Amino acid sequence: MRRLVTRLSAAAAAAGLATAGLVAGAVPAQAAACTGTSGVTVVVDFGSSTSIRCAPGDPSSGLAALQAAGFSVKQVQRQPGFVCRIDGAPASDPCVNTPPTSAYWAYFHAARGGSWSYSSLGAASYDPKPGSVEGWSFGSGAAPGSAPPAKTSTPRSTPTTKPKPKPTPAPSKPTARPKPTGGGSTAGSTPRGTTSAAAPTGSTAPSASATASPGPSSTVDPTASPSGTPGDDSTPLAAAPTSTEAGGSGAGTLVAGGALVALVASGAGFAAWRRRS
Amino acid sequence: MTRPLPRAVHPAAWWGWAVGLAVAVSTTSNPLLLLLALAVASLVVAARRGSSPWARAFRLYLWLGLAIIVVRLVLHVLVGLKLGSTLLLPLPEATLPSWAAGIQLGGDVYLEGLLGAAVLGLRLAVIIACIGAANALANPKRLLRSLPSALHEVGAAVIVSVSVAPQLAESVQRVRRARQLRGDAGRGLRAVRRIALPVLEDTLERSLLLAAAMDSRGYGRSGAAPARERRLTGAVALVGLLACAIGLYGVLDASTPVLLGTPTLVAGLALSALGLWLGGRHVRTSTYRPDPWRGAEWLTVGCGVAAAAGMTLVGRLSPDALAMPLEPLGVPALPIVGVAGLLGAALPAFLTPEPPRPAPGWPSAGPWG
Repeated sequence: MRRLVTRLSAAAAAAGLATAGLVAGAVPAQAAACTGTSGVTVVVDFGSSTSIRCAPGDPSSGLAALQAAGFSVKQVQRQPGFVCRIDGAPASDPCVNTPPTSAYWAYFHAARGGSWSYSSLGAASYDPKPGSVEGWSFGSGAAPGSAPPAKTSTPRSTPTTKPKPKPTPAPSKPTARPKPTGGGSTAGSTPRGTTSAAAPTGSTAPSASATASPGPSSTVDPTASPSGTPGDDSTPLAAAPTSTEAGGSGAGTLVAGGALVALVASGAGFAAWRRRS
Repeated sequence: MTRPLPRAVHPAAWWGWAVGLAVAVSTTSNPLLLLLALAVASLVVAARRGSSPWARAFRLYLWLGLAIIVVRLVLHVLVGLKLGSTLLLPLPEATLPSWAAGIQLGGDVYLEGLLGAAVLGLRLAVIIACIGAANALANPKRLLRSLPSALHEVGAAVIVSVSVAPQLAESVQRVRRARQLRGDAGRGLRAVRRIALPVLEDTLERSLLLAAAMDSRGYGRSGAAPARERRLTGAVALVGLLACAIGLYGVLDASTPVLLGTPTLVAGLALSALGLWLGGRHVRTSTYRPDPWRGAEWLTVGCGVAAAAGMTLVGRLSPDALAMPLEPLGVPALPIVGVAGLLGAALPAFLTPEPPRPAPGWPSAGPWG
């Protein structure tokens, strides 16, 4: 349930942030690197712009962190777990087969203020540690253009608009979940006609660190509460619908399809029965 | 409207129909469309299969498909990547060393991941059912005649080998029936010992009959080609096949040079066709009762192609309609073009001539079906 809540809030945040690449203040708790040692900072390099947000708590996987940070994720239709689009980019990819090696979302890990390292696991398999940084970069596998944000010393005050902080700690998985697919560690082998924005190294605007004051990296945050911080679990706002898939109109489609299948199958059964008799 | 006279539709037409249906199925993971395609294939098989032993094998393909789905689900629970958010079955997960990263042993099973695995298994099962439908509808021995003459030797070997198992099963049935008529309804090991020898003899006899029939029509004889021409034919066919392989790789891999793709594939196909034509020039075979290719054959192939084309069109226009929506979980769509194409593939069940029925009391058909 909690994951559903975070995803709903993530979708709501994505709806607010979808238009501009970086709108500081729209969803204040997430539109910057995490403070303290809790939460996973997610850096997404869109090529033309870079977005840095914070996934609160301890997300169970890189994919969950990406979604909890407010990015909308669309997976490859034939390869569940393989990230195809983040916040609708790239729009040119139909997301049916795995993207080509020249235009996919490469997945990186880093420590705060460290350097990027290409993930050897898929995003659905890797369990990021709280306080670490996850990087996503579109292109042919190059690291994100901006360095992992450094550690912050001053704990920022949590936003005042938070209605009701949930005290439940994240149900963190105890073990790492290794698995090959996803995240872009697989080379796509499908011929694709055109892929826009194939160049990953655009001019990345490093303005994302506007809100998080980069302090000296040696200072340890004293206020990191060990009792499982509630995180920035903003309760769902006006129930923004999650991604609007072309999923049919519900029960009517199911009944119609089922009736059609049953009709043809009963025809087959009748033909077989008539032959036997 | 007069009913057309019973006759067997050309086996190549059935194969074209089945491959078209299989192509349509392979583009989608929408369970409604998959089940509809399965029902369509079953309907056509039930209405138009012949009475030869392999025509009853369709049920075996269905069982095989069910086994594939079960294995897929078990493998998903054991080592699959468990995606999703709706916890279905909490299971412990084994921690593997880092060099085995990439294998998730055990772990919580989620509804979305399990459904995804089941749908993928269903897709493979339906593709296999399509091939099984072609096997049940088309007589493999009759298909042999439609092969290019250069492939007759290979084709004859393949046909004989694939028809051994159904013929053996039929022999067992016939011998058992004969023994039961004599009042010997023995079962178990002793019956096996008494049945084995007649079955062996029966199978051998039929194989000899088949061999004699094929030999009398020119199969299995080496052609009268001079040695130089045989070498040339072999070289052309080999180079053509190599070019086909390289061209296919080039087409599938976007990072290879353009020249290695379609041009190489086309050249390879042309060379292969040339090799087949060269090799077949000296092979003379005759046909007894040739299979005609008339309107029903065109209709059958056209229905299969229409199903594939409809599904491809849907994939171009709205690829999401072909997928099972897993994230978030939803009801699959029912794209009207795809459904119409699949329903069109059921038309051969009504519009093709009925297969000839054996006369009552007559033993099953001879070596040429």
